[in-house]
Amino acid sequence: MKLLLKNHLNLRTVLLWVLVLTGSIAYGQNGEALFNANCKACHSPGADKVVGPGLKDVEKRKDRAWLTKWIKNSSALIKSGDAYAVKIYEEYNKTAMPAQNLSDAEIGQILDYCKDFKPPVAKAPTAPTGDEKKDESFPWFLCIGVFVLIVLAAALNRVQKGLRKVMRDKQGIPQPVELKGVDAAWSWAKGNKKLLAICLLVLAVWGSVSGWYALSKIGITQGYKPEQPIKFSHKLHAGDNGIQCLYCHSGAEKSKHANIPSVNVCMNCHKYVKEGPVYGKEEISKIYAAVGWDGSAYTGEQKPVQWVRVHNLPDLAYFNHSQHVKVGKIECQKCHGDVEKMDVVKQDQPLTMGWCIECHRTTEVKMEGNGYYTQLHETLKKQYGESSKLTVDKIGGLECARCHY
Amino acid sequence: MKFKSIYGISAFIVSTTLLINGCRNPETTPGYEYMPDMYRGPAIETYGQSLENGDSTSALKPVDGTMPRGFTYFNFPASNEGYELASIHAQNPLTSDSVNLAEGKRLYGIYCATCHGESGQGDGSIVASGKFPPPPSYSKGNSSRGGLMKDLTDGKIYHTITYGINMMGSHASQIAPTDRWRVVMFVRSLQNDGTVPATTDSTVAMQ
Repeated sequence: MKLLLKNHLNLRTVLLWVLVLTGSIAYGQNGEALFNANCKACHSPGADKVVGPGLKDVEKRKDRAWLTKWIKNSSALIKSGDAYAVKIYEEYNKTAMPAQNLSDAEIGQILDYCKDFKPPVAKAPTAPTGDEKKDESFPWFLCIGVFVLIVLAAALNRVQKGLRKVMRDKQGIPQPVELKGVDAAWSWAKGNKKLLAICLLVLAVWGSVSGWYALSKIGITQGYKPEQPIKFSHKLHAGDNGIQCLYCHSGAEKSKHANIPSVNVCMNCHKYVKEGPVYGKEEISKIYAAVGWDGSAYTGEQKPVQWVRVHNLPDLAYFNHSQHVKVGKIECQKCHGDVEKMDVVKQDQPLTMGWCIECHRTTEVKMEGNGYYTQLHETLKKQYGESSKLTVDKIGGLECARCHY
Repeated sequence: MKFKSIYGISAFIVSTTLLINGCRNPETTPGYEYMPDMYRGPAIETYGQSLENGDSTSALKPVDGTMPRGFTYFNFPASNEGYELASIHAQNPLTSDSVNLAEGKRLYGIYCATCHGESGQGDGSIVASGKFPPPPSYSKGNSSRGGLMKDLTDGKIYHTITYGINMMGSHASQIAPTDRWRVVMFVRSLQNDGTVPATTDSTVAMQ
């Protein structure tokens, strides 16, 4: 019996320890979870100011009892005339911190989390990898190889020449007259007419074919991929972060232009996000310079970012974004390619007249649910038959004056 | 003579080809145009440089005291007082029907869901990745200007979209006034229990 009791006790102490240990681990995690759920929207556990002050060393500024009172009901503390509370309230433009429905223990956990918080070590900006590097690689080894061969051939040629000279001297044959410059080339050409003709033929064929190809590319800027003043990555913003195209290019369904976002749109996120994963602070600071943001307030000194236009239709063609995006319900990617996968935007499609026409011939008009088309739809059904496809060309999408006027 | 002319023709073909092909990098320069005068008229481009001041853009803000057609004037200042006044006086002018709500849902998906989340819980994709702090949940959170998020009125939500608050910037330049009311309508529907109301969704998925 005694033995049994002893065993039982042991078990109890072990259980108690397990409880204490798991409890203390959970306690630390709890502080972080509570912080993220209740405080993170306005406070950083580090030194940065977000909406309210950073909470690094907050307990050195005020003790836990005061902080608990503040967190539970800051406005009451301000009304009571507490000097420090009023000072903070004034300093943050009279933005009151909402009363938090937290227990003393929970507040303690949050403050412990802030005390132990260490900011993550900033990663050194990594140089862009992949595609960009591949583009720069030049076949150096090939060039060096060709150069070495040429030098070798020239050297051997000299040696051969020298040896022949010596031979002729020995046999007493007179040395031939040495031709120089153009005369030498002419004399060589006259002696090798067949070889020369073949070479010329090959060159002429290559020249005609690639010349014709080059001429057909004039005025077509497909593949144009200019460098932009800010290294903005669509892959990061639209791809990885999942920000919708229209969040920034909100004009695409309202106007002729899919607008280039004004810098205030960048600031919706970059007031908080101060460092990028690739270029660190370098590129984001260009936004701040453009919008005149000194880290906590707008200075009023603004300078437009001079983006380089990628897609540029000639002035003689009229194109309207809202017509295609809002009414036609065409996806952005249809004309712009997978921009959400591009680090640097390039022109994906040719944007030629033939390309426009081809699409107008094959794309069906979205007549359903569009009141504007109700009557026209009935007329067209009679004209072309119930089952025929009502493509854009059938509502005048190929008329010259649609785009050229 | 014949020999010389073949020489000349070949040299001409090869050199023009090299000129057209070799003198530009197709990636960084737009290349040549047949008739630049017709392609690029003297009219100022939408985002070109301003004529008066080369440092500013040709895109201008509306003249003070004017507004585009179809816009409504929101006569409440960007302050806590304006916020409270909007709460009492600003009314959603749109009728609450499934068409407006569906459009509100679509617009919410474009302009709000990245942070606020599809169901308004403050768990959007950018918050989930840890890159941006979470906004309070519409159904469970506290408002930073007092009260609960689920008690926010039409006017308060409209005021916040128009002027922004805390980490949220003004979205007035992106969402037109009438569309803002549609978003308000949808946000109100998220305040109840955080479930997305079923609407007749007639939109294209747009990335």
